[in-house]
Amino acid sequence: MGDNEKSIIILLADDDPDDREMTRRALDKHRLANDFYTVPDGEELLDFLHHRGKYAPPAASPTPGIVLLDLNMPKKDGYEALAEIKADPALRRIPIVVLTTSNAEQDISRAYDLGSNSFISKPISLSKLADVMMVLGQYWFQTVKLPSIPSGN
Amino acid sequence: MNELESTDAELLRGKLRIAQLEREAIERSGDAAKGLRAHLDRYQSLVLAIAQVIWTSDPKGDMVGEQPSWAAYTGQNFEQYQHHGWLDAVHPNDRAHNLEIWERAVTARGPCEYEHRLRRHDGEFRYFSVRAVPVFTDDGAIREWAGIHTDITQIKLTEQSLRDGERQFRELADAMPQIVWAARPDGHFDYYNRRWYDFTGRPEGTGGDSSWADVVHPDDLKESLARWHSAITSGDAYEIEYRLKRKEGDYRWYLTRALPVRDRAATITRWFGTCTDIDERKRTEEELRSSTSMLLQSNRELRDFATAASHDLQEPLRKIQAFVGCLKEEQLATLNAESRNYLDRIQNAASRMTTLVSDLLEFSLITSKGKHFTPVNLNEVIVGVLSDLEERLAKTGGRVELLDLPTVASDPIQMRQLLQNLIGNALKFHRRNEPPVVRISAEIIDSPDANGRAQPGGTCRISIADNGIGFDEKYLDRVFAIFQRLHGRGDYEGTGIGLAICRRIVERHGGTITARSKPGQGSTFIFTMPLLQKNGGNHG
Repeated sequence: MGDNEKSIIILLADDDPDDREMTRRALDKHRLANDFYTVPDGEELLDFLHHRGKYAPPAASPTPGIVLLDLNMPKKDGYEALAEIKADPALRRIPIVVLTTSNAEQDISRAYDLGSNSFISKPISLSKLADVMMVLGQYWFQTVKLPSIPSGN
Repeated sequence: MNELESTDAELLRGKLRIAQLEREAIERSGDAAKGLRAHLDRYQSLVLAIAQVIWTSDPKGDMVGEQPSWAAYTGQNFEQYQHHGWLDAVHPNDRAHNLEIWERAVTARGPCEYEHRLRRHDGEFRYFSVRAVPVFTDDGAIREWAGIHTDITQIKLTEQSLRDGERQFRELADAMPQIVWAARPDGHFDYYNRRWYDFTGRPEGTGGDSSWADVVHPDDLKESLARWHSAITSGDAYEIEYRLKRKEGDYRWYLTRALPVRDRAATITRWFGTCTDIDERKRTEEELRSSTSMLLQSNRELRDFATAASHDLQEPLRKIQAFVGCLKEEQLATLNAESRNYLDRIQNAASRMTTLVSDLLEFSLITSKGKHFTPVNLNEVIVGVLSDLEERLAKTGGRVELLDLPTVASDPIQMRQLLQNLIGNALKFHRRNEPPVVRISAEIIDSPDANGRAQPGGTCRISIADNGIGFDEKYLDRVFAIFQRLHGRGDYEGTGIGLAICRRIVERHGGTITARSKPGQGSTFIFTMPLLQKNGGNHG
């Protein structure tokens, strides 16, 4: 990363605490976990992105450069959250990478239909997950140009 | 000649002359009589030729004088028919009525008409229509009556046979289990059979347009009126299913059909219709529809359940594998060989469970989540399968011999699953030190379905033969049953669901699957499938 670039904030939405922990560790292995935030469901994800509720203080919810999104979450699942984000002009630029256990064809299609930027089936082992995170980091933070997203409302 | 002689001569001439005149007179009267006879004969022939009998009677109604027409017909002679003798030729049951009419006519001094049966000379009674008119003298008195009998037997018979026909029709109509009705060409209903009156509870004999409209369900009335109107205008058959209200007050479904009757000029003279109770059938159809809809719903729910259950079952397994993986990676140094062994086994078990749950899900979704049937070229499917099995082929040194396979209406993904399982098995169960050889072939046969009906397009039979370990055919049923294995768990990898999945797929396509085998001599798995499918195969 160049000096002029701020470190990218990664936001993970996943209801499973173990999975959140695993992802952190996987990112950690490649030193990508510096600005890593998590939310447990779709509702809190939207609250975070809109700086609402318990995420009202701006420090609590810096606008992420990328969102890793699980699909199966309570209260508001990944599909709903995805649809909402991509429908919102203020939020739709944020790249969303669906990171989920499912590899069912219709889940993949549905995610892309709703506008996800890509879809990854979570590998089981930590080392494989770490490999994925590394590739993710390389691709999204180095290869690809990210859009500028107006921070705050 | 003297005076006496001349007188005698004159007398003689006179006698001769008289004799001649007498002769002439006799001859002339003979001519007249002949003439009269000829007239009489002609008159009689005419009279007899007109199938009518003519007669005269005196003012009181007695027959007087010669009545040749009457005599010729009835066979009565002069004495027999004189005065009131003619009554004897009238049928006994008609005599009283006859006399009554006569008396009235005589009193009224006007013409009369009546009917009676008259006995013909051969004894047969025939129907006659009689007309008698008085003949008046100049001073207004009745001189005589002149009468004419017209044979109406044929008409009477025709009338009778019409009545019989009508009666037979009514008896038939009343005997039928359906409601039968008839209408005029203008659509006016004028006949209902007994069944109608039983059904509606209306008094027998009532009818007319308004009746049936009350009986039809209000929601069906408009359509039935429209169709009836269209039928009577176009002359096409009338047909409709609607609800009719019976006397108990409830409605039942009826199928009504009516056809027009046409005369020789093809003009409609009458409509005949029937109403058949189809309530049972309609209700059964309803139940079937609702059952089907419930089944489809149930299928959908099962599918959702299976998917959700499988997901929830997989979650803990993932954790087990993940954290054991973590342990092994991060704590490798602190683990001794035995611990590492345990961890391997834990991972193994979890991994097998994952495959099992995944296979179970696949099994349960075969019918409920199957795709529509489309033509699938099986040769192309095999190419894909062999590519997936490349590693195993290489590892075992196996080879596959492929004969041309047909194109079958089927679910492409399921065909892939089916062939992958079967060929995979053929490679898996090879004999030790014997590279597997798999032969795949097909033939087209004409086998009937379960009801004995021929399959449209025929059936294909596909065989996958291997030279592997084989099995005892007495275990044939177990081999296709779910979770049943013929070997210990550790001997060959797999969940024991593969062949159950194959069977389910084949059965979903309307086919059958079986196997031939001998231990140590390889196996041949054979499945049949119809080449074409009747429905799209979509089960919601």
